[in-house]
Amino acid sequence: MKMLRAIWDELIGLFVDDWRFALLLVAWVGVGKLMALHATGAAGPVFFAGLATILLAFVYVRAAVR
Amino acid sequence: MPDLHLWSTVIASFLGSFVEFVEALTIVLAVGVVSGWRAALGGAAAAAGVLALLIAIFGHRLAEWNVPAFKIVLGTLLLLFGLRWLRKAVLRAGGVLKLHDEAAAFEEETKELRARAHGEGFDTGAFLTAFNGVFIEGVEVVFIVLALGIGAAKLSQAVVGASSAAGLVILLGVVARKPLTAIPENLLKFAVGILIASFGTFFTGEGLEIRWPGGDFALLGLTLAYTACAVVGVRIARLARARQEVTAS
Repeated sequence: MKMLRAIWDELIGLFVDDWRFALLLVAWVGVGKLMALHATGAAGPVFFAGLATILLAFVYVRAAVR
Repeated sequence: MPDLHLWSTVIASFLGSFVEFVEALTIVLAVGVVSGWRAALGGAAAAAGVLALLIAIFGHRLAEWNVPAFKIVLGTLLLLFGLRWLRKAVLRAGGVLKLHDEAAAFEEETKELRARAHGEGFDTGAFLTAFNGVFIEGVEVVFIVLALGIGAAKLSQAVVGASSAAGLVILLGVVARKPLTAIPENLLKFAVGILIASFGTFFTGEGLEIRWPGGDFALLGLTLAYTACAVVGVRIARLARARQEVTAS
């Protein structure tokens, strides 16, 4: 049982170590889908820029509240 | 024209698996040294068998689901996986998180195993520790292989990348007979984070029907862009840390 629990925790931990970070990333993908991002001119760079901004913001927050 | 997907899949699968296998080797070595090689190698082999079975069962079935919605799910999982890894690597490089140390992990593991070691006979606890260690690290390898292989439609190549990494780590482990502390694991994790985040962004974008400029070469552009982003992230982390230390003193 303890081993199954460890495996389950590890499975979730593959994708999430900070729920806010994970949810924001998923939300950005959702925005891309709902807003039909592909129809805009620079969809790829805009999509990347959103992800990079989330990454850098969370790096700053984690470093600043250490 | 070079098949960019092929080489990037093999390289990402190799590097991602290599890092995980190095960590698994540390656990197997610790079990072997403390509780004997029968339990260590038996546990490792059993876990490797289960993992290979998982790839065999799910690999080709999942590969048949070539619909945009599946690509979004797969890409998003890769994004979560890669960006979590990259964020950690950036924080480590920026001095916010402690660097991963295989020697310290080995020490800790052997200490725990010695505390619950029993005398003669087959040590089931040690077998389970080796199984658990290899299985848990191996699940990450299975995810990397399946996600990269299916996303890029290069499952066999992803398997080749991971198998080569396993072979190399086993060889190094047999030769060194100690944790592979000389491997620049933190640097490798940084590179793997960049590669997997790039793949995740590319596949999710495809699922969202985004037309990447330059087609497949956009993957290379994303890798460069994430590298630049990570370098900026390290700088931000260092500055934030320095500012905090000034405030504290």
